[in-house]
Parts: sequence; structure tokens; C-alpha cells
Amino acid sequence: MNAADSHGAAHGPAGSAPPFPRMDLRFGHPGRRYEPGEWVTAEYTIDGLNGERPRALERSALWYTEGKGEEDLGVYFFERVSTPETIDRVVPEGTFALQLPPSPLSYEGVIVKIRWCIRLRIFFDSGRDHVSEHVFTVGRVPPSILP
Amino acid sequence: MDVGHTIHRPNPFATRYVASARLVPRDEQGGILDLASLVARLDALGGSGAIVGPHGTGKSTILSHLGDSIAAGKRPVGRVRLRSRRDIPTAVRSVRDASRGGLVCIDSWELLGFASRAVVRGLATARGVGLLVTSHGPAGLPTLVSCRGTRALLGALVGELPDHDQWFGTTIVAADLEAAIDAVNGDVRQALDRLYDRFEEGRLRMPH
Repeated sequence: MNAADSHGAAHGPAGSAPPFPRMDLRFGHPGRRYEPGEWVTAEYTIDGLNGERPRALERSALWYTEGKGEEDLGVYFFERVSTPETIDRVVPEGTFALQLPPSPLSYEGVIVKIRWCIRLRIFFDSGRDHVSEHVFTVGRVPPSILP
Repeated sequence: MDVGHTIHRPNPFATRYVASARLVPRDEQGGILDLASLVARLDALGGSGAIVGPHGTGKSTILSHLGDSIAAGKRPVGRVRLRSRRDIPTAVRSVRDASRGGLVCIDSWELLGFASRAVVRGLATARGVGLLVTSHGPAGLPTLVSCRGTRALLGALVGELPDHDQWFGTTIVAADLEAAIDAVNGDVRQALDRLYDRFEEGRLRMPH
């Protein structure tokens, strides 16, 4: 398993609110590199809940563009777990697997990049939510080179 | 935050990090604006006001966050972003369809033109709807905030971008910020675009 880089974003009241949890995700492949059509497997853990009750967890796989202009994204897989009976099965740890589509392939351009990521979003009873993104690579398109 | 893989290293100046809704609203000294005070001031102005300043000085960021703040107070808020004059009917419909006592936020108010602005203002008055707009110049509405792009503002915004400590001082240095803002006459949005390019140059010089 290979630890993934992640980006977190939080929404909700600041001030005396408890700190947001840390959401770590490990991909099944070394280097987080996958071929189109391949299965992605991942395990995640959510630490630092501090007794706060989660209301829902969203697990998704998506691609997005990153650059200076308008952005685009496509959600390939989405699952929301929000019933009291099921939330304990996916928090504070869980696994999931999905088969990748043929495209788009990851691309590390200068003007625009295409990235794939697993996104975990946890919602609390308090109204707060926290998002964590874990990037992985699809395909083997070489990165662009500045002239 | 745990980022370190070269090929996945995000460019912190990409739209997803510097879009108006992502940045914290700040004044020209880089200080964080007190949204509650601005909401109170908007009320004191009669419920309508304008955020005025040149292009790229943070007007849309303030509008976005003020809209969120007002909506959180349970006041209905509509939002219109004008891209061209073809969007004028959208602005008119938004005011026409807004609930009495609600607020319509219109980004790039100057695109409406003199006559359309008069129509929208009149419609808003008749329907009891507030207007909160961004404009490059006098808007025919009381000025709520005046914006100006400065080195201090750019520095504060850059300081809040993801993983700042990992690239500031190496890939991007203070002189890059000064050069970027000075080259575009205080247009912070354009300065961020320049810093995107600068970051790419630095990133591609790094070993993979």
C-alpha cells in the first residue's frame, strides 16, 4: 500500500469548534499509478473524530482540470452513506474498489492539468463538513516540458 | 496536509485555489474583512450597495462571501454573474423573481449599461429587493466597499494558499510577488495568473 498525498478543505463554524479529522487513504498500487480499465483499491482511515458524531460520508472518484482558466470535472463514482445503520461500516475506516474508465488520462501540462482523485467528504451532526482529496495517476502520458 | 510527490504537486495559483469563493475577503492592507460589519453597513445603507474597484482587486471575492454570510442569516439571496450583455435578461429575471426582502447579488454590474441598470434598480425598488453589486466605477448605488489591489493584499492572499510553507521562499519568492503586482498595475487577479506561470517554470525545473 502506498500513502497518498491529500488536500483537505473544511467548512463550518470556526472559533471554538474542534479540529477537523485527518483522513488518510492508501492506494493498492505503488506510486498510485493505474492503467485505464484497471481496478483501483483503496483503504482509508479517519482519525481525530474526538467523539463527534458523523452524519454522512461521501466517497467519490473523479477527474478534474487544474489551470488558470475555467475548470472542468467529471464524477465517475459517487456513493453517500448516511443512514445510522450503515455509517459505522464506513467510519472511521473502510475500503472500496472501482474499475477505471478508458479516459481521460492524467496529464501534467503547463496550461492545464488533468488529475484523478479519490475524494472523501465527512459531514457531522453539527453541520460541519470536511473534504479530503487523494490524487492518483491514470495512464502514462508524459508531463509537458517548457521550451 | 501531506503533499510531496513531484508529479502531483498542485499549482497553488490554479483556479481551484484562487477562485473568488476560495479566497478569504481582505482589505487593501491584507486584513480580513469583518463580514458581519459589512452586513450591518449594508442594512444601514438601505439594503443595497456596491463593491467598487478596478478589475482584479477582490470585488467578486467579497461579493461571494457576503452573499454566503447574508444567506446564512436566512435572507433569500440570488446570484447573477454577468459575462456579457447577453446576460442582461438573466439579471432582470433574478430581480423580478426574487422574494420581497431578499437580496440579488450581481457581479460585473457595469455590463448592464445605463438603461438596464435603471430598469433593474427600479424593479428592485418596486419589489422590495436589495441589490449588492460589483462595479468598476460609480454604480448608482451607495458604495459599501472600495477595493484596491496592493502588494500587501497579494501577499496576504498568497499566504493562505495550499502548502504555502513548502514553496514560498523557494519556487516563489517575495520578489516574484512584487514583480507580478507591479507589472499589472495592482490587478491582483492578473498577478495570480502570472504567479501560476512562474510556479510552473519553477516546478518544471525541479527533478522528477
